[in-house]
Amino acid sequence: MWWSRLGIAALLFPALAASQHLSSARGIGLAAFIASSNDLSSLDWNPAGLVFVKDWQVGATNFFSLTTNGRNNGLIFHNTGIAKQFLSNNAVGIRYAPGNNSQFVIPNIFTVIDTTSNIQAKVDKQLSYAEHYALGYAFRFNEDLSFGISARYREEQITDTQFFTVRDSLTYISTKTLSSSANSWNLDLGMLWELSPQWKLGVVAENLFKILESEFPEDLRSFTLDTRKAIRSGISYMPRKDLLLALDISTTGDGAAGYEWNVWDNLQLRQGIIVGNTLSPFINAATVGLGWSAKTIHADLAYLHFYDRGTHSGNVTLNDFTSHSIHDVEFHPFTSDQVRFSISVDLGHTKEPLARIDYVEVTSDIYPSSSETFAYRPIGRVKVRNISDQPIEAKVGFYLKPFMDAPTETRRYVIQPGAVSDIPFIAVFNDLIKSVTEPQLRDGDVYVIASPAEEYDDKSQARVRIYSRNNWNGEALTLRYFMTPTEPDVLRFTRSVVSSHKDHLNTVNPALLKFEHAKILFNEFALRLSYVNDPKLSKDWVQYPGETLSLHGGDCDDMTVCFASLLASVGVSSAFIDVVPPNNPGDAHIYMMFDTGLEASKADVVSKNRKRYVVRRNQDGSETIWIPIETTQITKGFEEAWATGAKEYLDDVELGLGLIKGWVKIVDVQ
Amino acid sequence: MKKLLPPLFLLANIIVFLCGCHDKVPLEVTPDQPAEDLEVASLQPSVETSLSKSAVDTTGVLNTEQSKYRATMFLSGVKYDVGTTRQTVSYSSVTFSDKNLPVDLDGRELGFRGIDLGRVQINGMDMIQTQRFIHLFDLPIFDGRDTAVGPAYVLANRNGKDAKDFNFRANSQFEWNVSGKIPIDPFRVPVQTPDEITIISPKSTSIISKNDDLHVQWTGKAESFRLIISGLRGSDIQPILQINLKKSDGNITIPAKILALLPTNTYRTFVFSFISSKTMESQVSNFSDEIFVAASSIHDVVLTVQ
Repeated sequence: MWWSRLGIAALLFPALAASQHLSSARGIGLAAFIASSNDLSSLDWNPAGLVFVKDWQVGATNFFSLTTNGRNNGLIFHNTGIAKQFLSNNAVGIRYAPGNNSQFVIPNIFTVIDTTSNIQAKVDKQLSYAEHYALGYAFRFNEDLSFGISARYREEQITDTQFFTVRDSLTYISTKTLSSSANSWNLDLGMLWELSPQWKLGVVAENLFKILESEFPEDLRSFTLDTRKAIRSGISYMPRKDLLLALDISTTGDGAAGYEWNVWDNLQLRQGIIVGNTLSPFINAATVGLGWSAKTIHADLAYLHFYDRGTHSGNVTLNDFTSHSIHDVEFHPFTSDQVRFSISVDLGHTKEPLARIDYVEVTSDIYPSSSETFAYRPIGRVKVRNISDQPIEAKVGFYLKPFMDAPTETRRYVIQPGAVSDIPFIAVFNDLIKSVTEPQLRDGDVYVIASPAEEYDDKSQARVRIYSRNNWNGEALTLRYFMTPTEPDVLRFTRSVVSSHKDHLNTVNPALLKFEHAKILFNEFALRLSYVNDPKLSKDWVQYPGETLSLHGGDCDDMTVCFASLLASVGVSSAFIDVVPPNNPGDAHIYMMFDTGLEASKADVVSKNRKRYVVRRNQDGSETIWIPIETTQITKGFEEAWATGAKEYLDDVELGLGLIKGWVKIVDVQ
Repeated sequence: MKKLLPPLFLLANIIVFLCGCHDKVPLEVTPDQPAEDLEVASLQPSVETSLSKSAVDTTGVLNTEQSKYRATMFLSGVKYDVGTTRQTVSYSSVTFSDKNLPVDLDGRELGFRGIDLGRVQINGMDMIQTQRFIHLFDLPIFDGRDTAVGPAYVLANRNGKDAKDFNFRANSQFEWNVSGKIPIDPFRVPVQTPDEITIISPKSTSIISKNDDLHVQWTGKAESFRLIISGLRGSDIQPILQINLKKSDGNITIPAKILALLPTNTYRTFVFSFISSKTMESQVSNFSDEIFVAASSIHDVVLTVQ
């Protein structure tokens, strides 16, 4: 479990604290950036984050300080840099930061008065600490783990005013200026571990190695920047896609916490606090920031505010200066409030992979004689996985040199996020394949091209008419959709009728059961319902069976649909007979017939009159006896309806050849 | 348009770079004490054949200051710490020189002959008339002898010995009463003594490093407060540095860079004379020059400087 790994990590690296870096407005805004750094500023925060640079990245940061002593000096260029990913899992970065420095002027606290001249050397010392250059390298060990190393070149300089006595003809005090420098390379090691899509852990060993180039003379060595080795760790958590929570802690007892919220499309709000046992007050500073990103461009703004208005206001006394230690070039007890602005641009191949090939299977060997078949018959299958969080369209290409002139690509397949699709691929071979004389093994290239599945490329509007539920388009084929054999009213009707004739039905020959059911139902149907015209004066109005039963009537369409539903509810199949007389289409009519289930050879059981029934194949493929029924004859009972229906069928189909000529259609509905 | 965005933002990067071409202003640390509070001056070495050896540790006045006047009247209360021992001295001297009677040798002016003032008292106590001598060490023919050049008047109470009734009191009125002798008429000169200065830190037993700041604490208010650092060899002291202190709140930091000016190759121990003075110039009839009057509270601390 990832949380167990987190626990192990916590044991290995007990509570750590983080110092702040001011090279990135995003880092300042979030305050806790060790586990989240993924750009050029990783050179400071966590070099392992460099691996997240897509291809090329260039960036720059400016800032201006807010002091209360009037010594604000406008917009200052802080840094610019470039990073590059190479060989998929490696990245390097280099940065030039002329603004990454702190300079202090320590005044002289005495005045030299002499007989020769009134010397007033106002400055005792000038201190300068800078890290202008940084470079780093990162390596992605696997999908979840990356490591990095960064080196920062620190330049420390002191210009010291020294006094000495000249003993000449007169004795007097003179001055000279001595400059000393102490330079070193400081190396950090970092690690980033993606415990899960929501959790990330970052650990940095800061100033782990120091390569000393030069140092101050002994009497000035106390001014050397106290470079502390520290272990800093950070953790970030994304409870939602639009929210990032982060926490950093350090072995020095300092820490930071912050969040980043995607408040709007591409607009982020960040806030953070910086705390620490070594800082005064404990909640030392607060940060707030805004970020805007649009694919390859990122712009960030951040404001850093210190709660202690003493030493951070720009007014620092000598006592303050000597009583506070400085461990970092830029972030120290005398750093003033400031606003930072960063821009970075991703260049080159910045497309995020959307799909991944899980597996390729070649399902068929290639026989040159039948190579043309692979233009339409798959030569293999590719399991393509959507590794993004949005639907994609993916197509697969296959290319076998030199036997294909160009890759053959499939059509596009839509794959949902996280889903896997089996895509068969084909191949169009050229004539060269037919020149193969010996069997051989070849490697073909299989690739997938994916792009976000757009909902639409264009949009327009079309006005459509939606008819009411009872409207019918007049086609017999669609009349069956009005049937509701399982509707409660229909079931209630048929069950009650069948139940009330149970004694009779028990005496009926089982072969005629369906016939008897139909007869009973029709007679009961006839008792309760009557034929009425269409209420809307429209031929295209059909009532649902429940409506027909509740209204106790309907026209031929309504009655036919209702009776067919009744029959279907007791398991009797039926068919609509749609008649449109060619000479008089206005007399179009629908009636029905039902399947008795009787074999054609037993037709005599139903009727000895061959013209009263129809022998036709049912949906099971058997030839059975069908009884035509004219439902509009409902008031005259089953026999009359049967007789009328049979005559109509005889006239329309057998004598009029309506089926053959096409003006009679029979539509099976159940 | 989308393809133009990256180059446009590269351009924005460059513009941002150009807009941010201001230099970062260094943070100027504010001194805890203004530089004007501490004035440092090197002192010209005393000529060995001067009229007197340097007595700044007793009088609080440099020879170079004293030599500007033909007449001086000094009153001082001195604490002298050497190791764990403290000596207290109440001291007064009166010297009047006749500018018409120079003492010179082969054209080199060594001083002026002293004037007999008759009876000189301070607060009713008679001061002792003594002879002043010039030291001629550098003249071999004189073989290290001194020569007397006229009277001076001195009264000293050293640790309760000698003039044991003569005690310097701070913030008090003293008065010299000179009976006069032709051509000097009788006159009186009052003087107000300053507040007593007592150095709390550094202690006399301290060994201080000239590479470290020296934090000085004292009690007593002083209108004019200065520190004279003198090299000590035997009983001779050679003033080297003068530091004028304009603070009166009882503490000050003497930077290591001032201490670095001390010639530790020549001297190992130094007398730090902390002097609070009230000075004035006075005039009397029949004496054309001004009289330099100084009343001082002095605390001498002998320190080893490395």
